[in-house]
Amino acid sequence: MMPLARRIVRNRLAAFGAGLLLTVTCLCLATPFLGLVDPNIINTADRFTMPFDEGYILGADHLGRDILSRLLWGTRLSLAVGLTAALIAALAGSLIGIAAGFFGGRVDALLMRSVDVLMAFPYILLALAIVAVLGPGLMNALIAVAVVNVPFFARNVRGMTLVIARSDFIAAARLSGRGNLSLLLFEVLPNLWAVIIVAFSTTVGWMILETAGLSFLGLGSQPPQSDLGSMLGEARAALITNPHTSLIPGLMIFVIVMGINLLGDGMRDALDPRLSKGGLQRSRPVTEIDRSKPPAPSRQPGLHLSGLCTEFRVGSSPLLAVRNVTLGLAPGECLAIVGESGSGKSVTALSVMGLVASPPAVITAGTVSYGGRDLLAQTYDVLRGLRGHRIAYIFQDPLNSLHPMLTVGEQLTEAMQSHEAGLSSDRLRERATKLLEDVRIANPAHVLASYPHMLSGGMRQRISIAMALANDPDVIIADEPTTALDVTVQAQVLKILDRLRREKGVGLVFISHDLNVVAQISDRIAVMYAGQIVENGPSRDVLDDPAHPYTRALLACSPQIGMAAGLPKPIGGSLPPADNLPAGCTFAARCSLASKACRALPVDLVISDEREVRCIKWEPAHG
Amino acid sequence: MAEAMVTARDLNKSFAQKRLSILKPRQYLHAVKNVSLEIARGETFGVIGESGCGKSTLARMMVGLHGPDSGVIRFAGRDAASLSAHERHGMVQYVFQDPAGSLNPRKTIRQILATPLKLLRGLGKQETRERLDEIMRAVNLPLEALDRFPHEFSGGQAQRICIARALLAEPDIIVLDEPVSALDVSIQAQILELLADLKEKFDLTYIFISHDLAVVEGFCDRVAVMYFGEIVEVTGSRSLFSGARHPYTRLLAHTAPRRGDDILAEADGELPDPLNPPKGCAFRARCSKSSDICATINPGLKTTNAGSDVACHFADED
Repeated sequence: MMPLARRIVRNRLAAFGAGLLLTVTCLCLATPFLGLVDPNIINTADRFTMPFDEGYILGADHLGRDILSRLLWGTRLSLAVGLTAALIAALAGSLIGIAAGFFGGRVDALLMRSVDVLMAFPYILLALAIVAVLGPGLMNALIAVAVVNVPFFARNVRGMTLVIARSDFIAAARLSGRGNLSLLLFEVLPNLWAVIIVAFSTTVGWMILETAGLSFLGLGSQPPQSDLGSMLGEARAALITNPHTSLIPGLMIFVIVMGINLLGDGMRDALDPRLSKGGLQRSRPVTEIDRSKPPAPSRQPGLHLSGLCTEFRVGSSPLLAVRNVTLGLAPGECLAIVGESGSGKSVTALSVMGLVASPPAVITAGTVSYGGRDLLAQTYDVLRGLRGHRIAYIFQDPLNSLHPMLTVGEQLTEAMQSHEAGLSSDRLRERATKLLEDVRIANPAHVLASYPHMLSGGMRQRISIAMALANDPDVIIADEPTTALDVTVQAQVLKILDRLRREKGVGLVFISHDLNVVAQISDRIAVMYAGQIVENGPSRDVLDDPAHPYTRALLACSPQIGMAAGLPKPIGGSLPPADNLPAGCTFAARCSLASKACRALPVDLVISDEREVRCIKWEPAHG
Repeated sequence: MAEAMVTARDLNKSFAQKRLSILKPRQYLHAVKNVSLEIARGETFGVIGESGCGKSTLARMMVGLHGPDSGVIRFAGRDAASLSAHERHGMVQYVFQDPAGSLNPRKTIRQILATPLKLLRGLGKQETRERLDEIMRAVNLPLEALDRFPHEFSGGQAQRICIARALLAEPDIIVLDEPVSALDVSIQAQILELLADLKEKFDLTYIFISHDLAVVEGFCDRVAVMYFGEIVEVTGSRSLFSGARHPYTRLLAHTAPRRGDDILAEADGELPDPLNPPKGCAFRARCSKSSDICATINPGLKTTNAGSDVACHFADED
């Protein structure tokens, strides 16, 4: 992570805000030493002197007092009061929020309902009421502004504390011997600083404005003491005739609040990890493509990838996620892609329809052929027509891919309508029911009217399969569709997928890390390692006679029930980093067979009959 | 059986649900029902079952993260309720499923690992440093790792750190809550191997929670199968696949994927509504053997002829 200060400086607007603030603060701090005239000396003869006249740099006000002196002394006071109010509000609000979020239950109910009561009043009315009770005066205005802003902090901090207090690391720290107080101070609080600072920096400007507002109404600083609000208030009568008396303090307020807000926004962006990772950057609808001379698309039926390369352009060297992947899927076939996380299997699948988020992803080479066309060369409109229609996806977590606010029925009919307009609602409903029956859902009518959160994980996954089937696609790409499911449900879902491809001839790309699952459903298995295919062949051959050492290692560490094999055999080491791949075989560092020759040069994929293997030690049976 | 390290008698835990309306009575979700078990010193005891079966609630009750509504837990004969939090954490530790989520992102590994040493073991600075170096070697992590932050580690490495933290409390028992489920298969095997080594080295008793029968079969000595909050079978892990007596255990064992087998699946099977639990045997709606008696009488765990404990009216038939 880049240091906070550097990230703020990199943000030009924030740096500008910081500069403004720094100047104002320095001026305020230096005020007593500037040798200014007393801000309260009245000299009626000089009233309404214009700026740069008769020794008054910024002119004089309606009582002939020096505006420059009053402005600097007033700014000093306004800043001090605003900051103090913000600090008090932050402290009190955070304490309430932390206590409510951490202890929950009754404490939470009591504290947060009290805060809600505070919020029920319009803030200025509440501030006025507090000042009315306590009497006018700067100190009371300060209290009023602080109280009014407590709820903002309390609610922000409570929300964050709730999440943190229920996280595993707090439970773990409790088991390490921490009591409640120690948990709060040493485990919860360090994770709240960012939230508190962001809330503080974005509200401090607002609080200075509010203090000025109260002074403007005559409820804050009392004459002859000046602060920015009271200066504005006193100059109000001469707004038309002598605008400089109100313009100058007005401008000062503007400069301060502007500076604080710019800096506050910059700090928020710098502190919020979601924003600093570019989370707000909108990704394009299609993955960026930057390739020269792609091979011509294949005319074979089904889906064919040829020489596909996808990389993530982050930092100095790109992460090579998919390297020269060639795969084919015939209609009705099930092709499994297996590998560890980070092997590039999901990126390969998402690249097919240009669904990898750009930036940072770029497809740098290869073609994806479907129906004689190169999908990578299609426009967004063409791709959108194909997405979900001819080529559909199923993802690991159906709760993330289903819309929480729409019923299952609405989502299913929407999926059908978006590709086939003009169906009557009765007809749509009939088809939706049929789809649910296809995925073995017992009472479709009830499920159609349900929202996704009301259904179990297995039901939801069946519904996302039904959605994928809504338009009779030719190809379904399923990315770890059963990983989040329990074994009995996994078996049900596998059975449905298997039946669909056999009965409807749907081509199925099944991505998984689990060789045991893959063994049950696939015709062919492609094993990926570090972005490359290291072995590809008919499932039987790959499982019974694995040719690549990595495939053998994967099989040895995937335990199966009923084999009484004892502990699975681990593969030592880990995947090589995708931005610093070794020159030779990428698996050599973890391979017991590796020799000097393996590490010297990149290893090519050797193709023999139906099998492809990327290992120099492999000798094809018929070679 | 050797001296029991852990005994639980009739544990119950339910959670109050959010009230849907002030007029309706508050509903309770009964997560763990009448669970009793006995675990010997040095044993690796598996608890398996599908999501929502109450296995994690049971695990959390063991370490005191949840208090039971009723029932007794004993560690080496001492009533857990009579132990102070410090005594208890010094006897039983916990390893979470999500290694990254159980490490405070704002703390270095050294700070995280020093906490149990300081608070539970009362060690000084010098001793702490020595123990940290020692433990890092024991879990095969480089010493430099001590001064890094959690996000700099892969899942497997983070899980080694979590295991190290549990070990530093010098417990007799470690509850492992799906410790390898979030990891890649190759890393799973590494962690299982490490856990097996550490068990020998530090003379530990494990309670191993998992949904993966294949892992449990290879790693555990005995297994309890949970369904809908209850233990339905306790058996030797080697006989999970071939010797299971409860129809639910059989279902689990036979739907787990095996290379070379066809996909075996029930036509349709859903858990009963936890807020509206069925009478009698909870599994009966999914069971081919179910008869009248199942609808009225909950079978309860009984020792079968084969020696395992099974909660089924037909456990001794075939």
